[in-house]
Amino acid sequence: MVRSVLIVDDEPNIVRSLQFLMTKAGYDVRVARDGEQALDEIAKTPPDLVLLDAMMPKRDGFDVCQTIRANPRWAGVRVIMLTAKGRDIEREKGMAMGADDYITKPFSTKEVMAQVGKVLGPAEGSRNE
Amino acid sequence: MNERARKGVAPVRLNMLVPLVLGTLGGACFLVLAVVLGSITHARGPIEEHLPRIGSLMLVSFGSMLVLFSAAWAVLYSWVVRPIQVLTGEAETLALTQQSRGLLMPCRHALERLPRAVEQLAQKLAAARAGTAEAIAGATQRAEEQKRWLEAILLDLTEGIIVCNLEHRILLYNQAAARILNMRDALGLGRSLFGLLTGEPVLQTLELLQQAGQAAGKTGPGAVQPASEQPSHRFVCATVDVGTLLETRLSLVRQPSGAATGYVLSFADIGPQIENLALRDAILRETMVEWRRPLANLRAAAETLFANPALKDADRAAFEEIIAKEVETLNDRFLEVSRRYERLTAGPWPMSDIHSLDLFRVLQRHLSENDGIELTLVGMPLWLQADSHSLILALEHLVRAVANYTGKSAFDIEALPGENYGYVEVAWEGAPVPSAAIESWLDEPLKGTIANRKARQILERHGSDLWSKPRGDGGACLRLPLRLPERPQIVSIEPPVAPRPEYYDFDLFKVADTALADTPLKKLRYVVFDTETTGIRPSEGDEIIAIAAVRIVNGRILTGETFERFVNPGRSIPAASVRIHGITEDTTRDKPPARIVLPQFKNFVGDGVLIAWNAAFDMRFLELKQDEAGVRFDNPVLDALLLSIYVSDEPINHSLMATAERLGVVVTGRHTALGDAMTTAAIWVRLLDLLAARGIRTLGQAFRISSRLVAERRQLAQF
Repeated sequence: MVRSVLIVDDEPNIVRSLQFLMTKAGYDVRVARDGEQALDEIAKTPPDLVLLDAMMPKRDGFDVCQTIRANPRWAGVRVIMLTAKGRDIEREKGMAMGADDYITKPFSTKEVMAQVGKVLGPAEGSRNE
Repeated sequence: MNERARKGVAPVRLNMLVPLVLGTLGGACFLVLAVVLGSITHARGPIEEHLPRIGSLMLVSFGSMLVLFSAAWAVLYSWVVRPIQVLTGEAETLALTQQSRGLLMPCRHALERLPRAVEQLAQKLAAARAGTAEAIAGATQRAEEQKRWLEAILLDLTEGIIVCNLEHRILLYNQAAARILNMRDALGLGRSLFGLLTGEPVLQTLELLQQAGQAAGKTGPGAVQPASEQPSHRFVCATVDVGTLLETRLSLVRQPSGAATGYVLSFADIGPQIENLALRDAILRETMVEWRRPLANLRAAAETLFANPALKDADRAAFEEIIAKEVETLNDRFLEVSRRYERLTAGPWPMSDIHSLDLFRVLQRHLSENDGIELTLVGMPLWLQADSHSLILALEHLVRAVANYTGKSAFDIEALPGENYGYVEVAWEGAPVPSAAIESWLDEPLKGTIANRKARQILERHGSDLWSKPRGDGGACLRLPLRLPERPQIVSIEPPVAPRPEYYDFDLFKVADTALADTPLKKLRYVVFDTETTGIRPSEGDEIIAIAAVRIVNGRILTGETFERFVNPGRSIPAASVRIHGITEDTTRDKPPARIVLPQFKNFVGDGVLIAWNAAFDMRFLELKQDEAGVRFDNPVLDALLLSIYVSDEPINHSLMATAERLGVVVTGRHTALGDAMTTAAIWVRLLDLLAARGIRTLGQAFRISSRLVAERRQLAQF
């Protein structure tokens, strides 16, 4: 079964790179531009993993993460938060909201792919290598 | 003074006697001459006969006049002149000396009411003098008291204070000034200010202020400036060795007439702040210089790639490598800069150490009075770093918002220690609050602040954030991380001398009420207490000198509900025991005796279950006093020491502090009765879970196991 990833970020440039890499790695990739859109997408079909930016307009990443965790039907959804703030407190807050992991910007794409691989297990039908 | 008075009077008296003596002698001479002439006349003729007689008559009358004059003088002298002399002397004496007594006058005189009037004047003078002396004494005492206040205030100030006269001589300085300037040789009363500080800024500021004062004097004659509006100037000035930069404030000391008589300098060392700014500046500078090169390389390579799609593979690969390498460089430099920036913790905001209990008590009162929201202070207190005023405003707003949102009006508030932060947690029964709601609260303008400050700004200033999370047993909390101060949380960990021996008592662990015996341990109301004593032998006259306690209800330590009293032991406190508890006879001297304090304690305890570390020891002291105090401590008692021995399998150190450490209790209080009671309480809360894991869930079970343990330890002690 192909693992699905939802990328949630309001910055199109980072979304483009992540989308490209994830697709290339064999994941089923969807994209949302803000928190509300993300929750709509999750409501349609819960993904295996959400790559969730913390700072976004409308509903921010912490809010989305907490909403995901409050819904028992989405208990299987893993969440990795991405943030532009490097402080320990943001990491703590993200983990308190129920995130599985937390990556600080700027990150290397290798690092993100490795984290995703760790959380989801190796993607099936990988075209990587 | 008396000497001068005597010398003044004596010659006058001699002068007055001379005419009396001369007059009397002269008169007598004339009379003798008249008698001699009279006897000669009998031997002469008629005309010659008459001449001597006439002469004799003249002599007689002249002599008689002299005698009469002398007699009159004598009378005048003793009735008038002499009394005037005495009166003058007395008046001078009383005027010049500090005595209040009646006049010493001759018994006969013709001065009528004059001495009486002088005496009244003298009495008035004496009374006035006494009044003046009293007023002076009172004023001196007030001045002394004000001086002591001033000294205390100056001692307490963290700002340095130096007072100078207009010749720039130092008239007064405080300890902070000595500490900040750190130039002991140059700082001293009467020495020149300019041995310490560079002169120019001070002189220029003085001139400015004096000119301003004169200008004000011209425009508003008779207008008295209140002290609070006395002009002052702030400026930065350096010490003469240019080792320290001081933020200085200079104000003039003026007489009521407006003339300046001196000036006051108050100053603080802004070195650390300047250093902080310099570090920030350095970071910014380096960022601009060091990022320029990799950015230029990156841009050139990217533009070349973009502009030349038909590059040969080898060239393309070279440019791609440049891009990858320079991005790496930029990334590393960015991370380094951001780490350095994070380390610059001390911002320009006034942050100070505050004890969580103080913070919570203010919050508790505000919310209770203004909003009917009840906060219960729980857990172990902690030192936090905060700008307390703004933090209280923000917390008030947030607790109010949670109360509105959840419909609850009662919350627990607690400070929890963490690795890098201390956490303020406001807890309630129910679900966590959604992050979106919290975000909206953070952006609401706060009541009672200037410029509509928002909680978000205050939290950002504290380098903090806020979230809500579940908290076990169906509860939830708001969690606010705050920096921990650099001060140690613990003042003294272990008492410097060996602690008291373990005491055990079979009769302690009995329960009369069977219903109570079946009550789950977690549901019981506990009072955890500790005593400090003059020694370890209650039966040989050792006494309680301090007793303190804290309540545990539903597994929560109610930090806000404590009992703490010193007790007058009615005996001396041995030095050996002072070394343990630090309580001296000075402390207990004016404190009530046990018979007053124990009923108060009993009142606090109510029917709660008593917990103490090595409970038998403390209970023995209470029991020996309870008849005298007219109370009975027949509450159920459990020993935290005994039960903590039970839950640990290995023979290890069972001191209070070692146990606290083993069970993860962060000891925040000092080694006082209250501090130890708090630590014991925190241990007890953790023991409840450990006991439950071993099947000890009710009071009855805890009693049975306690009795068994006492028996075992007694047997052990016999071998």
